[in-house]
Amino acid sequence: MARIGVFVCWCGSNIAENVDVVEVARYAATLPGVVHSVDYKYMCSDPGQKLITDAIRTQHLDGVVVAACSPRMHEVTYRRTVATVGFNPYLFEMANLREHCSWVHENKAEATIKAKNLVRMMVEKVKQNQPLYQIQIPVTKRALVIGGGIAGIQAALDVAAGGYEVILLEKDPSIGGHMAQLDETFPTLDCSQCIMTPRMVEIVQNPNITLYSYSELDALEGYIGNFTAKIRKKARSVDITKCTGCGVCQQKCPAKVPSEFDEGLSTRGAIYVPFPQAVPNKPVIDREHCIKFTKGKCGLCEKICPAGAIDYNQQDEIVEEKVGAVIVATGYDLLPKDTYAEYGYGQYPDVITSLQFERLVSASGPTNGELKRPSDGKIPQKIVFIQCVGSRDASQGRSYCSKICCMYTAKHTMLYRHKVPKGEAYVFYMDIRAGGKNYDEFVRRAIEEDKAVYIRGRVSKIYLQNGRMVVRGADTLIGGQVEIKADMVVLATAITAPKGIDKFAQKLGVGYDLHHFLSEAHPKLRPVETNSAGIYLAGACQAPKDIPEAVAQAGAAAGKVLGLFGGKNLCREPIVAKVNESTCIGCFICQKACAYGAIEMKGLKDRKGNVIKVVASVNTGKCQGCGACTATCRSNSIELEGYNDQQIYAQINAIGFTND
Amino acid sequence: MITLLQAKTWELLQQKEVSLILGYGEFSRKINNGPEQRIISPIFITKPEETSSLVWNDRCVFNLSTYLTGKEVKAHHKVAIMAKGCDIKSICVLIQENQIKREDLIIIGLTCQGVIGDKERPKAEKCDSCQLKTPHIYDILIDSAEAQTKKLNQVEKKVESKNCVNPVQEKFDRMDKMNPQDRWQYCLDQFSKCIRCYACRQVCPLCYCEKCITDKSTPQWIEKSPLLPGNLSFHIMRAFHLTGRCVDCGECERACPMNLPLTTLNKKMAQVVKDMYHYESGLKTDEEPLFGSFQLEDEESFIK
Repeated sequence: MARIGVFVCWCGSNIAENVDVVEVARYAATLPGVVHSVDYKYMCSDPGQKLITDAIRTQHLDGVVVAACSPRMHEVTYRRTVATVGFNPYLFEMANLREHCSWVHENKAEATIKAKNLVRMMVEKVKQNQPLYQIQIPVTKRALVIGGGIAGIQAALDVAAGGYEVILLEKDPSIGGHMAQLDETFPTLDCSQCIMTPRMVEIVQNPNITLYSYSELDALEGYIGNFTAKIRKKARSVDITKCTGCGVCQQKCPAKVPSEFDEGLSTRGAIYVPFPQAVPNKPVIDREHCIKFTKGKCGLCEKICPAGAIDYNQQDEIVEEKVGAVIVATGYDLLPKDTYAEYGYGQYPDVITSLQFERLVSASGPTNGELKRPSDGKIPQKIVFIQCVGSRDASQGRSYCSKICCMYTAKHTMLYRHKVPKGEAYVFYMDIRAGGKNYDEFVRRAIEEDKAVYIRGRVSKIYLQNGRMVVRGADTLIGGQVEIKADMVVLATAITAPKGIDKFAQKLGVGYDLHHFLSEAHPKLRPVETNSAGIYLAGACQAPKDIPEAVAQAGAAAGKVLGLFGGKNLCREPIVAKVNESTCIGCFICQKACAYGAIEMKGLKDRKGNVIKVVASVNTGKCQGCGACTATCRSNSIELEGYNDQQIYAQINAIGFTND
Repeated sequence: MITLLQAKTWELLQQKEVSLILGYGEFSRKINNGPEQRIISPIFITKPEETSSLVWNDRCVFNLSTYLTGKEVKAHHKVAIMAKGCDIKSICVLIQENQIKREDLIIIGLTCQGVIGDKERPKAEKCDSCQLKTPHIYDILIDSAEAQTKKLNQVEKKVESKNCVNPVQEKFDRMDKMNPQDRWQYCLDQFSKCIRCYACRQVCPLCYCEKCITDKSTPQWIEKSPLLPGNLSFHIMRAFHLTGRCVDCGECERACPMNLPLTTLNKKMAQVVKDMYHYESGLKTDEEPLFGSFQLEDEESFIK
């Protein structure tokens, strides 16, 4: 016969006000198998928990039901409580008398009846419970960081600082990401390059970090603690062990290709280092534009290279790395510039994007920091900045705010005034969003000290009048139309998820939202974890972020990885699916329903070693206990531990049974 | 006279391309001490000389694919099967669900102008809406030219001339138009007749579980005695399990001794699936099963 203890909590007045808790406790004592039943004002408090542990000892309980709040609130608390006296935590169940009862019903008498039903169901369930034990998984204590922008760099450095090896993967020839392109940064106007490049150097200097630049992830297999990453090192066509980085090749290369780093405002060779401070400072050949590769002639770089480092026959190389955790820091893209025809991008050379503006004012930019407009190289005397180009535009399918544009536009107006003291800056905005430390002060400074003129409204059209651009827009504060003649127009184009990131996320088994930003496991409480255990997010791949936020999140993700690596083994909840191999028919619908790739094929062998049947098998390292597989299995051959059929059946049966 | 079917199958066995052929044979048999009758029966052929028993005509109603998942059949390395378009749909589902491998199978596709039904129906109900008179997937194709009896052709003409309503469709529409209370009552009336012989399950090519949930007893989700509550659970469960899978081969209803409208229920589920997910089962071998696939555009208006 079972020896079950029932502990009914008042939750102050939260439950007691609407449920007769004393009556519930009295009733519970009459249920078959219940040997101990009490009520208490705050069961989760220290004396409350002592009631439970004392009863386990003195009454020799073999099942515990706490009738209190939601298990999402305190299940972990009580599991710990019962475990302190050596009681298996999975012989404990919670009946939710708060969220499922007192909070949602008004009639106390009826709510009390329901509370009794809920307690009775859990008593019946706990009778069917079996002790479960935490799953121990060995962990490979190396991390993979995907993306070498500021978030990836920070995450890699932080994990490496904890003493663990890190593999940093960057798809471009150099790390640095978008931050390396920026001029000065808000809200302090310190130079981006000055704070970024030392970090980039640290990456190569750190003995714990292996950098794979110009490399992509082909596949990620395995599960938390035990991933295998297949990395494609794209053919650089340059032997970096021989290359000294002298740069002669790129000076002599006859090909002219728009520079990605300068956002198309300058050209580079087909063999190139993206920017002088690149890490690694070794060139790659862009085979799509190289004359040798496209036409078979040229070969100038090979002839000229003093180190003999050019290798046209280099092939992509696949390397496999075993890692225990993955941090995804794949960053963002900007909205394709030609999306908004009314702003004349591509039609008028002096309509540029914000990132192009960054390059124009940057000391490392195509004009060495002199603000010359692209069309004729004149210094613009009047610039119109347009915010929210593609952001907060539900009609275009992007309802989200790109978050950083308000701040960088304010910064741009300042940088402009500092370079052209008599220049006039106009900003069309929808709202100014400057939440953040010293952010609003920064925007006020742009308006008050640097005389930026802010106009609240949208721009409808940009057209030419006597060879000069005219920006026509609404000023909603004066309730009329305004027209501003402009020498240059800067579009704050929306931040978007990188193209193809959906396929990439599917490769990793990570969720993504409507706009293809990667999904965190919980928007508030697990903001850097994903729903795939062992894979974490950092930076703008999750949502538009500015530098401090990206760095903070990278640190947080690194902290999670260090926490994972800190223990000897990884302990997992034993609430995982379990296959009944004798009845599994191997249709593998469960495998397709599993969002975590936790179901594998397993061959059952006879004594001679011949495979006689292939059945589903659960990888407990990957299983998150969601139960999707159990719902799809037609032969009922897969069950969730802790929620197995016997337990659920007992609970359902208890609904129809009353003891009153 | 040796038919093309017999010649082809003889070759398959002779050249050891397959070790077993699932086909239709015709025999004389006395039924209930009555006069001898010619009957069609599924036959399993392993020797070339036995192929002379194979026939293909409009009385070959059975869906032989139901045998493909049997242990005895699986023991053969490679198997050939005679299959009409409707039968091949269930073969597709079996391949999708990992039960058989396409490369282990030679499909002898049969072009078909419809098979006969029971006494009351000269033509099987499912044939009225058939879209696969020539099978969609096969390795060898056997034509129906000589196979159909004159009787059927006459019936067809008669049916056409009368401009009859499709009987399946009529039954389906009737149930579809009922209000929920009437429909529920209709189901109760029908399922209370069930004697739980499980003929529907045994004949169904897609009911291949080694141990059906109906036969599990810890816990016993489905009441076993042939009374209404258990009957309802069984048939509703079975309709759910066939959702997005049933290929409407009609074997369950044909096998049912109590004439339950089983295909009507399955058809309804198939229609819902088609309307909501544009999914039709059994058309491709490499398609993901409905319950194993997810698209962002999937209908989810039922989530409130």
